[in-house]
Amino acid sequence: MKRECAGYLDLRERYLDGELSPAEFARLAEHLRACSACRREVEAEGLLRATFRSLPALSCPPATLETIAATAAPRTGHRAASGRSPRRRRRLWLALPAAAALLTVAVMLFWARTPLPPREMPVPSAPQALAARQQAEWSLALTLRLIGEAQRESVADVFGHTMPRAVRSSLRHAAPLPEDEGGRG
Amino acid sequence: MKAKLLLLTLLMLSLLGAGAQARDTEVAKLPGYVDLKDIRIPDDAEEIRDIDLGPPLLKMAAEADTSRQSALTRVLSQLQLVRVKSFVFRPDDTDEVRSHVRDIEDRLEKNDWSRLIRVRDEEDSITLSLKYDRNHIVGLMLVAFSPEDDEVTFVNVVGDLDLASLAGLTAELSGVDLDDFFDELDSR
Amino acid sequence: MDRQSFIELLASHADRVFSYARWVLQDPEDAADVVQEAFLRLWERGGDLEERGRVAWLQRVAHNLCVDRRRRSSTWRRRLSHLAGAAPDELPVGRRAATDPEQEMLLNERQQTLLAALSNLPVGIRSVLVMHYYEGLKYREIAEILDSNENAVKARIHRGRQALRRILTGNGDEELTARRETG
Repeated sequence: MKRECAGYLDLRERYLDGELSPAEFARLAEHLRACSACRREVEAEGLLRATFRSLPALSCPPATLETIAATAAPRTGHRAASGRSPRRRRRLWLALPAAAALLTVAVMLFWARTPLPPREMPVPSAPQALAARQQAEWSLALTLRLIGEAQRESVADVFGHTMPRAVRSSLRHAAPLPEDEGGRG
Repeated sequence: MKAKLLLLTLLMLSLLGAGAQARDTEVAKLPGYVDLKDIRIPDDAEEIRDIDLGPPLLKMAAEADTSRQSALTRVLSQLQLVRVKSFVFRPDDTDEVRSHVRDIEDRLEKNDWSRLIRVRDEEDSITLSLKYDRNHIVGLMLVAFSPEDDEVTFVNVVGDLDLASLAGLTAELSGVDLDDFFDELDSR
Repeated sequence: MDRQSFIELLASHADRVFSYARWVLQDPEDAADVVQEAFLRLWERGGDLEERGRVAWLQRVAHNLCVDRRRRSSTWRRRLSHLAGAAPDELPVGRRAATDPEQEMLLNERQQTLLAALSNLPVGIRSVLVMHYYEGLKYREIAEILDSNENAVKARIHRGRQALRRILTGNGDEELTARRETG
């Protein structure tokens, strides 16, 4: 590394943390424009960070939560032998005061978890967002498929956006179709 | 012993507090919302799809598309809730499921939902209802009930809905093979 | 330690500790054991601690447990078979993020490469890298957790980063050392 680059190490680091002031950013940017070595370093470091941050945020297995919660329950059951972590499955069976209560605890714990402030918790990761998107996609695809099935059986074209507005409006209060017995029949 | 367990449970309940409940309450107040909580999925039901995407997850889903180009992204950014409850039940549970279906239909009628399509074939039915607020669709409720196949699906979508945009999704979602999704889920 | 505070801490931090241990140890069972042991100790000792110091203490315990576990385990070069082999574009359908350690985790190629490289580093280095890069903790915060000083933490992270890069370039994996989108 060139000697002059050593002076920019801290700025590079803080740039990647998003902590530079406008003046500092300008200084670093000017250096990066001239120094391909530092540019490569910044890019590589950025990619490394992004990859780390993209690792999914995981949920602690419910069975583990149940076991831990059993520790805090009124009757704690068996304690771990000193020096070793007990296998969690065995602890679960031995330390169970009441299966129902623990299940409640586990469920409550799951729902009671409120998000930590962004600083303390990894931001929703790409896989989580994409999973939510896939669920949404699937749900809407299912909805459309069912509507499509219904449409095939019916006369009215639900998505008749080529229909005149007045006709479309009338569909709002359309009577059930002839083959429908009306009401709940 | 029982009292202590009860105390623990109550303690747990009290922890539910702000978080999820506050968000649910806001969505639950929207006119397009239909409460599906009372629809019990029988213990021995199969092929259960229980999807609950509220505002935070929908926002995440919309933002997953960094290009913001797709029609799906535009639709998702207008929604507050996508709720699906779908399952295959045992013939013994048909009556219970049918009562849920009727209960939903009653509620929709009481709350001035517009029934857009109702198709019946023997016992099977698919009902699509929309909730309007002035000229906007603010809720969609789809109930597909098939005692013949022992299947039922409830879908509630809440938000600023535009049927034309939804229809436009058909092309984009045509690559979504629902059967593959079913198989994939069932094999896990 | 009172039960309510303990349960609140469990609710708010179990996932985080699990995630941290999972990436450091790269084994779901080991990670679950770390979480369990860490919270067990918190339950026993947490009452002696000031409330605001409990989280850092918990993290320190988790770190120590990870280091300790690596030392004792004879199979510390972690098998990555449960991480590898998944198609990069596949994602869990109809589920939230992985809640079951037995559930196959689907990572893309870049993530798998990183984890493989990470597994070649000493666990103490791995730990601070995960704390800094994955959890986003600052040097000062990590120093507090490890009961160390900022410069020592900075140096350790720097060493770890250099080692990671050496491993990655040594394997011919330029993806993580040069900008190239592999999707």
